[in-house]
Amino acid sequence: MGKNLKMKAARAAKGMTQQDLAAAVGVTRQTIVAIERGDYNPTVRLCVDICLALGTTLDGLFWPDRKD
Amino acid sequence: MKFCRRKNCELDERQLMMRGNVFQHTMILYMVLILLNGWLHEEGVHWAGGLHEGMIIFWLGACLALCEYILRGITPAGSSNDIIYIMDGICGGALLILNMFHLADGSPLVSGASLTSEGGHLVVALLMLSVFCTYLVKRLAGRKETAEDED
Repeated sequence: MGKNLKMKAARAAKGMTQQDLAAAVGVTRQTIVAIERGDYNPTVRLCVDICLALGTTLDGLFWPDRKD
Repeated sequence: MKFCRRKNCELDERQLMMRGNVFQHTMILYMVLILLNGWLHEEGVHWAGGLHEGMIIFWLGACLALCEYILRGITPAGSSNDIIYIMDGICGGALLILNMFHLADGSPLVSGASLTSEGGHLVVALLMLSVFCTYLVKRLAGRKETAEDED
């Protein structure tokens, strides 16, 4: 699983730190770090919470970019 | 809209998954250690006197589980976790110092290929201190990590 750069970019665009996002969605900062690094696969529920907190959609943050 | 549902002492989904893994590792470790200890008894080997065999096996599993908790960022007691690890370090340090006095009096660590009471206490003290050291290292590394991750 690769790094989730889209989530990192969306968070930065919103002006939120990892701690801010973690507090907003009710997880620890380490969990946000793990998701952005691609070390942890979050549940759909957490994905939706992150999308709501960042004002974006599941497609925008978690759908892979396919080049085929 | 308010998103925050997590209380200070609750684990999030990643932590819950990790905690399950830690329990699994600890259970397997205990099974292996107990079987190994039973086999050694069967062979007539008593590596520690009195209750110290059981005590060391217990502390070994508990300390490794706590170290894994620290390294994986699992905080079941919320912010009180720091206090638990510091208290663990203080208790381990006190036990080590008390033991040093016994050793200075000339009490042996090992007697007849078996750990004495002092030897058993020393091992437990070192195990407790290992948890505290892991906590300190993780905390220092965490500060550096925080700055890098936000980039």
